[in-house]
Amino acid sequence: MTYNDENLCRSICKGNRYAFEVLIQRWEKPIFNLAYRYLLNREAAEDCTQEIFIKLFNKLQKFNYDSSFKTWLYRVATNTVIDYQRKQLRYREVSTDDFVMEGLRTDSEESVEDKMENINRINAVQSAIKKLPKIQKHVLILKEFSGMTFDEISESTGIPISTVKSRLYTALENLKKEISRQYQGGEI
Amino acid sequence: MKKAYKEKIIDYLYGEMTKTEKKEFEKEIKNSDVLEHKVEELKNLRFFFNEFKDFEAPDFYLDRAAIYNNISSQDSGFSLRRIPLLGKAAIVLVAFFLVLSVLRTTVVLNDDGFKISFGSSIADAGGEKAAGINNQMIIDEIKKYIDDKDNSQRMHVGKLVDELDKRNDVRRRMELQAIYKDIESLKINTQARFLGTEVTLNGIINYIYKQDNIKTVQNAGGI
Repeated sequence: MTYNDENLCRSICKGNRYAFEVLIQRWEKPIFNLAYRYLLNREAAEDCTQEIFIKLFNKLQKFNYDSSFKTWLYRVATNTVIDYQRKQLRYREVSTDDFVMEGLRTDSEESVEDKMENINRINAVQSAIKKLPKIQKHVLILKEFSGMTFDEISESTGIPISTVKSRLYTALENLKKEISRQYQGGEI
Repeated sequence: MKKAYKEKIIDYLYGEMTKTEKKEFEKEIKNSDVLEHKVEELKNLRFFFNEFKDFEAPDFYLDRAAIYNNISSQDSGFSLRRIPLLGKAAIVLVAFFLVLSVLRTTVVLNDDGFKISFGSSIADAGGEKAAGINNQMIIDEIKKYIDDKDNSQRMHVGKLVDELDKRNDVRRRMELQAIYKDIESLKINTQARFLGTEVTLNGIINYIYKQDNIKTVQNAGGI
């Protein structure tokens, strides 16, 4: 038996804890990254990732193997992140990390000016993504940062592929406008 | 811009076109300044995303996930759907004899007040031998699902609490405790529903945990 995700799920449902650990190890990084893209706060992303895996475990019996595990997982994950964000907004605003310092590719050859330039750009992009409407942000993050195919996004979100594409286009357009407005250079 | 073009641009940018489609679209781009400008703008924007690298999950993350795995999997221990058929049959038998035992219940009086025990049926550990099952088997079965699992759960939660204490992370510690409490109470309720009544369950737990130092008072009428 090969240990693909679906087989692991079956094994977990039979009570195999180790299988769940393998599944977590396999998916924790992409899911953490997904949560981070939404929440922009490492601590909140960690908390939320925990929640996602707990929810995943509790919902696993409902997984019917019709869709791929990946699309189902991302559906659970994005719903959990959105709920988490809503809860956070109700109680307190999650502060955004000084994201650039850890998110920036480091290149020792870069001059200080170049680095500062990159930091400004990244801040502008990050802040623009934050302002996108929910569904646009959703599609952008899943495509651009989680590397999902349009089929997978469509399956995961329940939106037709052509709508996914047009939402993504609008998201990119909105990002461009917002960044141009924010970024001092006017163009990116 | 028309929806069809938006989709084409997206397909082009994300490499979703066939070679022929790509060639044709590139021709269109060359013939339209507006289209060319639009594609270039979005290309630049996408290029810019490459500046972001994936965020590494923290080193301690795996351990915490494993611990949460143990916490949440407590729920699975009592899901009938996850128990094989023979196991279900055994549990039904156990539940049946538990009900029989409760009908012949004994109230146990210790320092905390009245608790329920199986009185003579547990005390002589042989009342149901004729039916192929004895009280020790019942206790073992219950222990397997309640006692042992609780111990491992506590151990893992303890580890995590220690970790959070070390980090002085009061908020997450509180959250963890709240989650743990919820799961624990859900588990107890699930067990209670399965076994009959919560009173019976508490009686069993009390019996298991407080076998020492108990005085018994016979109670013919049950609870």
